[in-house]
Amino acid sequence: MRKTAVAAVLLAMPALAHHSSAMFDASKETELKGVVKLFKFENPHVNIVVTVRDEKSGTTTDWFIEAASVRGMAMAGWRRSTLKAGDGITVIGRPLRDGQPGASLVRAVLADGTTLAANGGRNY
Amino acid sequence: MARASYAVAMLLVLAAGGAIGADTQVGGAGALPPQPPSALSKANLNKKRPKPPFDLTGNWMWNGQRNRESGGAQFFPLPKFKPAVKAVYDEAMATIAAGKAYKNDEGYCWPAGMPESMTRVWPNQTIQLPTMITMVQMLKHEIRWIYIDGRPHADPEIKPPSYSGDSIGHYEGDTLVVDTTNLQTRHHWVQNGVAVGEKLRIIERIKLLDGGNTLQNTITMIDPDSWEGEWTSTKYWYRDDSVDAEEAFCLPDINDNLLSTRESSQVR
Repeated sequence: MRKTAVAAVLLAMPALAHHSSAMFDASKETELKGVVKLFKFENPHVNIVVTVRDEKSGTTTDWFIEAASVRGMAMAGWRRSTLKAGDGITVIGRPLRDGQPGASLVRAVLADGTTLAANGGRNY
Repeated sequence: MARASYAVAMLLVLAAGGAIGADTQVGGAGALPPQPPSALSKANLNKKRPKPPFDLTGNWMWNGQRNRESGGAQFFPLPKFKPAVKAVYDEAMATIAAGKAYKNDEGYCWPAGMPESMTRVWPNQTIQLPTMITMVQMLKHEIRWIYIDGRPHADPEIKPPSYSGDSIGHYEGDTLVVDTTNLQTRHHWVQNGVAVGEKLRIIERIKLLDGGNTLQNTITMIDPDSWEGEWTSTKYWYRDDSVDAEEAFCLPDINDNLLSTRESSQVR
């Protein structure tokens, strides 16, 4: 029982980055189709903000996407010029547990159909 | 007006029996006890010493897979915590299990410090000189200076506590033994839910294995205020010749966008 509890906590632990990842639901993936509002290709974590429009209500929501380091993303094919504001994008990410509009990047499909993973082989 | 204020201040000093003159001035090198020569001074670098059994120079990467069995970035097995420490640790584990970060000060740009800075996944750029080993953790550029020139620990009266602490190393056979003391306690954690205490002492026993491509570090922590006996955990790094460190500051405008630093994601 104790072993199970410890294992569960370990799985939920922050990973190995400097920020905790306990708030992301590692068991789920959310797909977001929207428009890039912000792309900061900088260490320690690349930032992406995607504006998603709800077709029924017409309202828009900004989703904050937490990504990996520049090196990890570069090894997956990302470049500083990969995204700019206004580009269409589909993001697949692990959502926040509390339902707020945010996710940890798993992969993204660019406007030209290219799929890029979140990380090309680094732990950071 | 300013001159008048100055004159009043001077009068008050003199009235209080103070005197301003060369005979009462202190300062300069004479105020310090004899200090060791700089680790980068030529005299110190060129001093004759036995050849060290290995050179740690290289980019060292955290071996996440191998370190899982000893708790990943945590130091397993855990010691028997003192009741007050155990209560905080239990609260942290419950918070994390509920999907929130617990006092993740490093996420708010506080230094990881020792020993946590050694468990980061970014390149640890290590440069060994005859007198000193410098470790630069790429994340936030945290630096450790490990003096191996025979000097004793610095006097805490003139070198106050710091996040990397005061590290003195020496060789015992094929092992580099590093003793770290005098650690800053403010917003500083050993690992999740275990704060750094004033008496924390960290002894690392470092070896190079696999023909110099694996760094093994058996880390023993002693803090009689926080846990019983010695807390020991062994971690591994691999040499990575394909990478160099890059700039990775913790910048407010990047950090503020991170979901993990939002108030709703935290127990502060």
